[in-house]
Amino acid sequence: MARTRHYHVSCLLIAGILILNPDNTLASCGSANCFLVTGTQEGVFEPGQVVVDLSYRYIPQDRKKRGSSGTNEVLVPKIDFENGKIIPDHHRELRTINMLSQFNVNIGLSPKYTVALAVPFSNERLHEHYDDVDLAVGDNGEFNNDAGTSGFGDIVVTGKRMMLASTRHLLVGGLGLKLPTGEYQLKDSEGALNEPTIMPGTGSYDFIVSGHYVYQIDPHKISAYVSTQLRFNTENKYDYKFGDSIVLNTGLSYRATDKINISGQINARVADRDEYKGDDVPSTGSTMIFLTPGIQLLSTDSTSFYTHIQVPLYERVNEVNLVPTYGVEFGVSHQIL
Amino acid sequence: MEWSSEYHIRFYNDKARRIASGVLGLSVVLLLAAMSGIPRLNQGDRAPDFSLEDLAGHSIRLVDYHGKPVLLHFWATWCKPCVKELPEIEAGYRALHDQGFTVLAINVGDDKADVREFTNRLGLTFPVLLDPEWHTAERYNVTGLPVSIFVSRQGTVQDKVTGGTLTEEKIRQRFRNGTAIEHDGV
Repeated sequence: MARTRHYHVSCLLIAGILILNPDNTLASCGSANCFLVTGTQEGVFEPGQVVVDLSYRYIPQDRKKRGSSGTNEVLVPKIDFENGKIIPDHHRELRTINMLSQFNVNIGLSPKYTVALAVPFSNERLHEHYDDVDLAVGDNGEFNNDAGTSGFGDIVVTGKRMMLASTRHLLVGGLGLKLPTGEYQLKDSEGALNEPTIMPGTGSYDFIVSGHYVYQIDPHKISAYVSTQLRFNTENKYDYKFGDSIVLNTGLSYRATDKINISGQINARVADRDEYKGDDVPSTGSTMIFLTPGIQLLSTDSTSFYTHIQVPLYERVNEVNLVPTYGVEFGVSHQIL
Repeated sequence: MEWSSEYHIRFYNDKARRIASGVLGLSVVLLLAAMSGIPRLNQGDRAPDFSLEDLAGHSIRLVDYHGKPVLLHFWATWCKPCVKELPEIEAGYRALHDQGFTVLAINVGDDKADVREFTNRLGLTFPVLLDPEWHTAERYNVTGLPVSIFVSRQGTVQDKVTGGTLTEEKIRQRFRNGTAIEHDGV
């Protein structure tokens, strides 16, 4: 289940980085107003305000884990969809490099409502493993460095509502739906349906509940925030269900100069095991905690560039799995209207 | 009892999930408790009094202007819509000041030296007060800039204008009609 693992870890980092990504300064100014506590990807925007964001994430996964300890070998199962069974110890995982390019747009509908769209237009993995390991006969498997799976990912649509706003407080609630727009029926080198966890899409409708709270310690200068996201997944047509998950983030943002914001946050994610035909899938599900420092440069009043680096603090996987060494994100955000 | 490795891992994941849920629930409770103290300011409410320093270091209180219509204007030097609106407010102030109309421009968060340079550059003549810690802004529940609050002669909140849309003519109209100054506004 290295592929399973890769997907979940990628999702964690992607979700973590996505959630932490501030696409604007501590105060967002439209043409007529500067809203003090919004302007972040988790916040709400002025009516008619449109903010677009383009980001790229790079996440290499080559560290081997058994539970929370290091290990020398990662043997993971394969899902045999044709025969409806799980084949244990099928792959010996080496590494996977995840590269995600994503487009985000936030549109302010009213003083309280914003709609957000996340479009992962390129989800690519470079994957190395040994296939067809057969421990019973001492077969170590065949090296495989196929390009992995690449393609368009699942679009997420989120409606956000400002629950409360004051000079120092902001509380935003959100409801989201992940659509099965991504590739999830790709074939592997043997012509069989590929592992669900390494494909760009899941083939399922998933439901997301989110909350975001910001406290302005020193308005326009320093803020602290807490956010959470609960994800409830459904089964796709191949009877595969990705594990539900909870994500918690907390962080600080500091305006060092008029042009530079510095941030630091902790991201935690707990994911359930995946299920295939109602059975738990080995080597899926995890608990991970990351530290993510970042910096944002405001090049103009409406455009900013940012980068974040995600460093693992704690990683626990079910059975064995590969985990990320680090994650890095680059992006640009622009306010159109 | 010796736990199997599988049970161990499942136990820790379940435990982590419970911890995460507990942290989430506690955060919600703390959040609601913190937000219960957020002020609400409605039309007709008495405008909260304050005491702020002007650029000369004099202490200015809102109650000092009781009996006169007052425009409280919250702004900051980094707020571009504020920069656009202030000259309009200056024009309205100059036109109506001798009839008793007053503007108190409350700067939030900026350095005194920056505020002084800014007001000199724009040629502002109305009193400019400093709210460096945002305390007065909090009492007026300012969530965006600029915000203009019209206070009646009786010291009650009559109108609140956001979005940098005030013009000299609108100020004149409100003063002339008296609808925002003396009575319930929009």
